[in-house]
Amino acid sequence: MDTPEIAPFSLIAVIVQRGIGSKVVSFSKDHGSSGGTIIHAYGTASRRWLKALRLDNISRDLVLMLVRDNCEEKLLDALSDYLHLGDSNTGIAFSLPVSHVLGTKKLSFDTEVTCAPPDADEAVDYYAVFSIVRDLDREDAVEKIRSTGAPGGTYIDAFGSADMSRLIFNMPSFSEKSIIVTIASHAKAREITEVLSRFLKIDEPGNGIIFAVPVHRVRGIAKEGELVI
Amino acid sequence: MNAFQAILIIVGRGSADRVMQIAHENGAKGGTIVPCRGTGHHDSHELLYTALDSERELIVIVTPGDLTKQVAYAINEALALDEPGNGLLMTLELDEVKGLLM
Repeated sequence: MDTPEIAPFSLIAVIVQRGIGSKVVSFSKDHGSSGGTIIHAYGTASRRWLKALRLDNISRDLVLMLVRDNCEEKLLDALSDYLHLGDSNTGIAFSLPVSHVLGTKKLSFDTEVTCAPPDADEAVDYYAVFSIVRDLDREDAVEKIRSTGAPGGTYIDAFGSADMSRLIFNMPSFSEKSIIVTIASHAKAREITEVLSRFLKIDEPGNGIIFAVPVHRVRGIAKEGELVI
Repeated sequence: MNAFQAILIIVGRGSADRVMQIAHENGAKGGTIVPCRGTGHHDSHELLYTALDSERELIVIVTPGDLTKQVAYAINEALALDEPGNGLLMTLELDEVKGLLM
Protein backbone atom coordinates (compact mmCIF):
# COMPACT_ATOMS: atom_id res chain seq x y z
CA MET A 1 0.00 0.00 0.00
CA ASP A 2 1.18 3.52 -0.76
CA THR A 3 0.08 4.96 2.54
CA PRO A 4 1.22 2.56 5.23
CA GLU A 5 -0.23 4.67 8.04
CA ILE A 6 -3.73 3.72 6.92
CA ALA A 7 -4.16 0.24 8.32
CA PRO A 8 -7.36 -1.48 7.23
CA PHE A 9 -10.07 -1.86 9.81
CA SER A 10 -11.73 -4.83 11.40
CA LEU A 11 -15.11 -4.95 13.02
CA ILE A 12 -14.94 -6.79 16.32
CA ALA A 13 -18.18 -8.21 17.63
CA VAL A 14 -18.44 -9.48 21.20
CA ILE A 15 -21.50 -11.28 22.54
CA VAL A 16 -21.59 -11.36 26.34
CA GLN A 17 -24.15 -11.45 29.12
CA ARG A 18 -26.36 -8.41 29.54
CA GLY A 19 -24.70 -5.66 31.54
CA ILE A 20 -21.11 -6.55 30.72
CA GLY A 21 -21.18 -4.61 27.44
CA SER A 22 -19.99 -1.31 28.94
CA LYS A 23 -17.23 -3.16 30.78
CA VAL A 24 -16.10 -4.72 27.50
CA VAL A 25 -15.96 -1.31 25.84
CA SER A 26 -14.03 0.37 28.64
CA PHE A 27 -11.58 -2.55 28.75
CA SER A 28 -11.16 -2.38 24.97
CA LYS A 29 -10.51 1.36 25.10
CA ASP A 30 -7.31 0.54 26.98
CA HIS A 31 -6.35 -1.92 24.26
CA GLY A 32 -6.61 0.07 21.06
CA SER A 33 -10.32 0.55 20.51
CA SER A 34 -11.73 4.05 20.28
CA GLY A 35 -15.19 3.15 21.47
CA GLY A 36 -18.03 0.83 20.73
CA THR A 37 -21.71 0.42 20.18
CA ILE A 38 -23.77 -1.75 22.49
CA ILE A 39 -26.88 -3.49 21.21
CA HIS A 40 -29.39 -5.39 23.31
CA ALA A 41 -29.47 -8.94 22.02
CA TYR A 42 -30.94 -12.23 23.12
CA GLY A 43 -29.46 -15.68 23.12
CA THR A 44 -31.50 -18.66 22.08
CA ALA A 45 -31.52 -21.42 24.66
CA SER A 46 -31.69 -24.92 23.36
CA ARG A 47 -33.03 -26.59 26.49
CA ARG A 48 -36.61 -27.64 26.24
CA TRP A 49 -37.45 -27.17 29.92
CA LEU A 50 -36.23 -23.57 29.78
CA LYS A 51 -38.54 -23.05 26.85
CA ALA A 52 -41.46 -24.60 28.70
CA LEU A 53 -40.89 -22.17 31.55
CA ARG A 54 -40.62 -19.31 29.06
CA LEU A 55 -37.08 -18.67 30.27
CA ASP A 56 -35.64 -19.14 26.81
CA ASN A 57 -34.95 -15.46 26.19
CA ILE A 58 -31.49 -14.97 27.60
CA SER A 59 -30.47 -11.34 27.59
CA ARG A 60 -27.16 -10.58 25.95
CA ASP A 61 -25.14 -7.54 24.98
CA LEU A 62 -23.72 -7.43 21.48
CA VAL A 63 -20.79 -5.00 21.31
CA LEU A 64 -19.52 -3.72 17.96
CA MET A 65 -16.11 -2.06 17.84
CA LEU A 66 -14.20 -0.78 14.86
CA VAL A 67 -10.44 -1.21 15.34
CA ARG A 68 -7.32 -1.01 13.20
CA ASP A 69 -6.18 -4.33 11.83
CA ASN A 70 -2.81 -4.12 13.58
CA CYS A 71 -4.34 -4.28 17.06
CA GLU A 72 -7.26 -6.55 16.24
CA GLU A 73 -5.62 -9.85 17.18
CA LYS A 74 -4.12 -8.43 20.38
CA LEU A 75 -7.49 -7.04 21.43
CA LEU A 76 -9.24 -10.34 20.73
CA ASP A 77 -6.69 -12.20 22.82
CA ALA A 78 -6.93 -9.65 25.63
CA LEU A 79 -10.73 -9.89 25.58
CA SER A 80 -10.49 -13.66 25.57
CA ASP A 81 -8.38 -13.56 28.74
CA TYR A 82 -10.43 -10.83 30.40
CA LEU A 83 -13.80 -12.47 29.77
CA HIS A 84 -12.54 -16.06 30.11
CA LEU A 85 -13.96 -16.87 26.70
CA GLY A 86 -12.28 -20.25 26.82
CA ASP A 87 -14.81 -21.38 29.43
CA SER A 88 -18.28 -22.39 28.40
CA ASN A 89 -21.20 -20.00 28.63
CA THR A 90 -19.13 -16.84 28.92
CA GLY A 91 -19.45 -15.37 25.47
CA ILE A 92 -17.92 -15.21 22.07
CA ALA A 93 -15.81 -12.68 20.20
CA PHE A 94 -15.11 -12.57 16.49
CA SER A 95 -13.78 -10.13 13.94
CA LEU A 96 -15.01 -9.36 10.45
CA PRO A 97 -12.84 -7.69 7.81
CA VAL A 98 -14.17 -4.24 6.87
CA SER A 99 -13.59 -3.06 3.32
CA HIS A 100 -14.28 0.65 3.68
CA VAL A 101 -14.90 3.17 6.41
CA LEU A 102 -16.26 6.68 6.13
CA GLY A 103 -16.55 9.03 9.05
CA THR A 104 -13.84 10.52 11.18
CA LYS A 105 -11.44 7.65 10.56
CA LYS A 106 -11.49 7.67 6.84
CA LEU A 107 -10.56 4.74 4.65
CA SER A 108 -12.06 6.07 1.46
CA PHE A 109 -13.31 4.14 -1.53
CA ASP A 110 -10.42 5.45 -3.61
CA THR A 111 -7.99 3.58 -1.38
CA GLU A 112 -7.19 0.11 -2.63
CA VAL A 113 -7.85 -2.17 0.31
CA THR A 114 -6.38 -5.58 0.77
CA CYS A 115 -7.74 -7.36 3.77
CA ALA A 116 -5.00 -9.29 5.51
CA PRO A 117 -5.48 -13.01 4.92
CA PRO A 118 -5.74 -15.07 8.09
CA ASP A 119 -2.49 -16.62 9.29
CA ALA A 120 -1.84 -20.10 8.04
CA ASP A 121 -1.76 -21.54 11.56
CA GLU A 122 -5.01 -19.82 12.42
CA ALA A 123 -7.05 -20.31 9.31
CA VAL A 124 -10.61 -20.08 10.55
CA ASP A 125 -13.21 -21.41 8.24
CA TYR A 126 -16.13 -19.75 9.98
CA TYR A 127 -18.86 -17.58 8.60
CA ALA A 128 -21.17 -15.18 10.37
CA VAL A 129 -24.62 -15.68 8.91
CA PHE A 130 -26.94 -12.70 9.36
CA SER A 131 -30.60 -13.49 8.75
CA ILE A 132 -32.98 -10.55 8.85
CA VAL A 133 -36.44 -12.06 9.21
CA ARG A 134 -39.90 -10.95 10.25
CA ASP A 135 -40.27 -11.00 14.02
CA LEU A 136 -43.11 -13.51 13.64
CA ASP A 137 -40.87 -15.94 11.78
CA ARG A 138 -38.00 -15.70 14.24
CA GLU A 139 -38.74 -18.71 16.45
CA ASP A 140 -39.33 -20.98 13.48
CA ALA A 141 -36.20 -19.66 11.79
CA VAL A 142 -34.12 -20.45 14.88
CA GLU A 143 -35.60 -23.97 14.89
CA LYS A 144 -34.61 -24.35 11.24
CA ILE A 145 -31.09 -23.14 11.99
CA ARG A 146 -30.89 -25.65 14.80
CA SER A 147 -32.13 -28.45 12.56
CA THR A 148 -28.91 -28.11 10.57
CA GLY A 149 -26.91 -28.94 13.69
CA ALA A 150 -25.85 -25.37 14.51
CA PRO A 151 -26.44 -24.47 18.16
CA GLY A 152 -28.81 -21.59 17.39
CA GLY A 153 -27.68 -18.03 17.57
CA THR A 154 -28.18 -14.58 18.97
CA TYR A 155 -30.95 -12.30 17.86
CA ILE A 156 -31.54 -8.57 17.90
CA ASP A 157 -34.86 -6.72 17.70
CA ALA A 158 -34.87 -4.33 14.76
CA PHE A 159 -37.13 -2.47 12.37
CA GLY A 160 -37.28 -2.86 8.65
CA SER A 161 -37.79 0.05 6.31
CA ALA A 162 -38.98 -0.99 2.90
CA ASP A 163 -39.54 1.31 -0.04
CA MET A 164 -43.16 2.37 0.40
CA SER A 165 -43.37 4.49 -2.72
CA ARG A 166 -43.60 1.26 -4.65
CA LEU A 167 -46.44 -1.00 -3.75
CA ILE A 168 -44.62 -4.30 -4.18
CA PHE A 169 -44.08 -4.23 -0.44
CA ASN A 170 -47.55 -4.73 0.92
CA MET A 171 -46.41 -3.98 4.46
CA PRO A 172 -46.28 -1.04 6.83
CA SER A 173 -43.23 1.11 6.27
CA PHE A 174 -41.67 0.14 9.60
CA SER A 175 -42.12 -3.54 10.28
CA GLU A 176 -40.73 -5.45 13.22
CA LYS A 177 -37.76 -7.55 12.25
CA SER A 178 -35.25 -9.76 14.00
CA ILE A 179 -31.62 -10.08 13.00
CA ILE A 180 -30.33 -13.55 13.83
CA VAL A 181 -26.53 -13.87 14.02
CA THR A 182 -25.11 -17.39 13.76
CA ILE A 183 -21.47 -18.43 13.58
CA ALA A 184 -20.98 -21.61 11.60
CA SER A 185 -18.41 -23.43 9.54
CA HIS A 186 -18.41 -22.75 5.82
CA ALA A 187 -20.34 -25.90 4.91
CA LYS A 188 -22.85 -25.37 7.68
CA ALA A 189 -23.28 -21.70 6.81
CA ARG A 190 -24.18 -22.70 3.28
CA GLU A 191 -26.64 -25.26 4.62
CA ILE A 192 -28.23 -22.68 6.90
CA THR A 193 -28.73 -20.18 4.09
CA GLU A 194 -30.22 -22.88 1.88
CA VAL A 195 -32.59 -24.19 4.55
CA LEU A 196 -33.65 -20.73 5.69
CA SER A 197 -34.19 -19.32 2.24
CA ARG A 198 -36.41 -22.27 1.37
CA PHE A 199 -38.32 -22.00 4.63
CA LEU A 200 -38.82 -18.23 4.48
CA LYS A 201 -39.54 -18.16 0.73
CA ILE A 202 -36.88 -15.52 0.68
CA ASP A 203 -37.28 -14.59 -2.97
CA GLU A 204 -40.68 -13.09 -2.31
CA PRO A 205 -40.74 -9.43 -1.30
CA GLY A 206 -40.83 -8.59 2.38
CA ASN A 207 -39.81 -12.01 3.60
CA GLY A 208 -36.33 -11.07 4.71
CA ILE A 209 -32.74 -11.26 3.62
CA ILE A 210 -29.85 -13.55 4.47
CA PHE A 211 -26.16 -12.82 4.04
CA ALA A 212 -22.93 -14.47 5.12
CA VAL A 213 -19.67 -12.72 6.02
CA PRO A 214 -16.39 -14.63 6.36
CA VAL A 215 -15.07 -14.35 9.92
CA HIS A 216 -11.43 -13.33 10.30
CA ARG A 217 -10.73 -14.63 13.80
CA VAL A 218 -12.94 -16.09 16.47
CA ARG A 219 -12.59 -16.61 20.23
CA GLY A 220 -14.93 -18.44 22.57
CA ILE A 221 -15.55 -21.65 20.72
CA ALA A 222 -15.11 -24.42 23.26
CA LYS A 223 -14.56 -27.33 20.96
CA GLU A 224 -14.33 -27.93 17.28
CA GLY A 225 -17.67 -26.99 15.81
CA GLU A 226 -19.28 -26.31 19.14
CA LEU A 227 -20.24 -22.77 19.94
CA VAL A 228 -20.86 -21.17 23.27
CA ILE A 229 -23.53 -18.57 22.73
CA MET B 1 -15.10 -5.99 -4.51
CA ASN B 2 -17.62 -8.76 -4.19
CA ALA B 3 -21.04 -8.66 -5.81
CA PHE B 4 -22.70 -7.38 -2.65
CA GLN B 5 -21.75 -5.25 0.31
CA ALA B 6 -23.45 -4.56 3.62
CA ILE B 7 -23.27 -0.91 4.61
CA LEU B 8 -23.39 -0.43 8.38
CA ILE B 9 -24.15 3.09 9.54
CA ILE B 10 -24.10 4.17 13.18
CA VAL B 11 -25.78 7.54 13.79
CA GLY B 12 -27.59 9.38 16.55
CA ARG B 13 -31.09 8.28 17.49
CA GLY B 14 -33.62 9.80 15.10
CA SER B 15 -31.34 10.09 12.09
CA ALA B 16 -32.27 6.69 10.68
CA ASP B 17 -35.21 8.05 8.67
CA ARG B 18 -32.94 10.57 6.98
CA VAL B 19 -30.34 7.88 6.24
CA MET B 20 -32.96 5.62 4.72
CA GLN B 21 -34.42 8.47 2.65
CA ILE B 22 -30.99 9.20 1.17
CA ALA B 23 -30.36 5.50 0.59
CA HIS B 24 -33.67 5.20 -1.27
CA GLU B 25 -32.88 8.25 -3.38
CA ASN B 26 -29.62 6.61 -4.40
CA GLY B 27 -31.15 3.32 -5.38
CA ALA B 28 -31.09 1.13 -2.25
CA LYS B 29 -34.23 -0.90 -1.78
CA GLY B 30 -34.48 -1.10 1.96
CA GLY B 31 -32.69 -1.28 5.26
CA THR B 32 -32.94 -2.50 8.81
CA ILE B 33 -32.72 -0.25 11.84
CA VAL B 34 -31.45 -1.38 15.24
CA PRO B 35 -31.69 0.83 18.33
CA CYS B 36 -28.45 0.77 20.32
CA ARG B 37 -26.16 2.95 22.43
CA GLY B 38 -22.73 4.33 21.67
CA THR B 39 -19.76 4.75 23.94
CA GLY B 40 -17.21 6.58 21.81
CA HIS B 41 -14.82 9.34 22.83
CA HIS B 42 -17.26 12.10 22.09
CA ASP B 43 -20.40 10.77 23.58
CA SER B 44 -19.53 9.01 26.80
CA HIS B 45 -19.73 10.90 30.07
CA GLU B 46 -19.67 9.82 33.62
CA LEU B 47 -22.00 11.32 36.15
CA LEU B 48 -21.82 10.15 39.75
CA TYR B 49 -19.88 7.08 38.58
CA THR B 50 -22.71 6.12 36.23
CA ALA B 51 -21.81 5.94 32.58
CA LEU B 52 -24.11 7.98 30.39
CA ASP B 53 -24.13 6.48 26.93
CA SER B 54 -25.71 8.23 24.01
CA GLU B 55 -28.61 6.69 22.16
CA ARG B 56 -27.72 5.57 18.69
CA GLU B 57 -29.17 3.78 15.72
CA LEU B 58 -27.43 1.13 13.65
CA ILE B 59 -28.67 0.82 10.09
CA VAL B 60 -27.87 -2.19 7.90
CA ILE B 61 -28.30 -1.77 4.15
CA VAL B 62 -27.35 -4.50 1.68
CA THR B 63 -26.45 -3.08 -1.73
CA PRO B 64 -25.10 -4.52 -4.99
CA GLY B 65 -21.48 -3.59 -5.66
CA ASP B 66 -22.19 -0.93 -8.25
CA LEU B 67 -24.39 1.05 -5.86
CA THR B 68 -22.35 0.80 -2.68
CA LYS B 69 -19.97 3.67 -3.31
CA GLN B 70 -22.72 6.05 -4.39
CA VAL B 71 -24.96 5.26 -1.42
CA ALA B 72 -22.06 5.43 1.04
CA TYR B 73 -20.80 8.79 -0.17
CA ALA B 74 -24.30 10.29 -0.31
CA ILE B 75 -24.95 9.30 3.31
CA ASN B 76 -21.48 10.46 4.35
CA GLU B 77 -22.10 13.88 2.84
CA ALA B 78 -25.67 14.37 4.01
CA LEU B 79 -24.95 13.46 7.64
CA ALA B 80 -21.51 15.09 7.74
CA LEU B 81 -19.94 11.93 9.14
CA ASP B 82 -16.48 13.45 8.72
CA GLU B 83 -17.15 15.71 11.69
CA PRO B 84 -16.26 14.01 14.97
CA GLY B 85 -19.19 12.58 16.90
CA ASN B 86 -21.63 12.50 14.00
CA GLY B 87 -21.38 8.82 13.30
CA LEU B 88 -19.62 6.18 11.33
CA LEU B 89 -20.14 4.23 8.13
CA MET B 90 -18.46 0.98 7.15
CA THR B 91 -18.90 -1.65 4.48
CA LEU B 92 -18.48 -5.42 4.74
CA GLU B 93 -17.92 -7.70 1.77
CA LEU B 94 -20.61 -10.37 1.64
CA ASP B 95 -20.16 -13.86 0.34
CA GLU B 96 -23.64 -15.23 0.02
CA VAL B 97 -26.75 -13.12 -0.28
CA LYS B 98 -30.29 -14.38 -0.55
CA GLY B 99 -33.53 -12.44 -0.65
CA LEU B 100 -32.32 -9.11 -2.04
CA LEU B 101 -34.81 -7.81 -4.57
CA MET B 102 -33.22 -6.22 -7.56
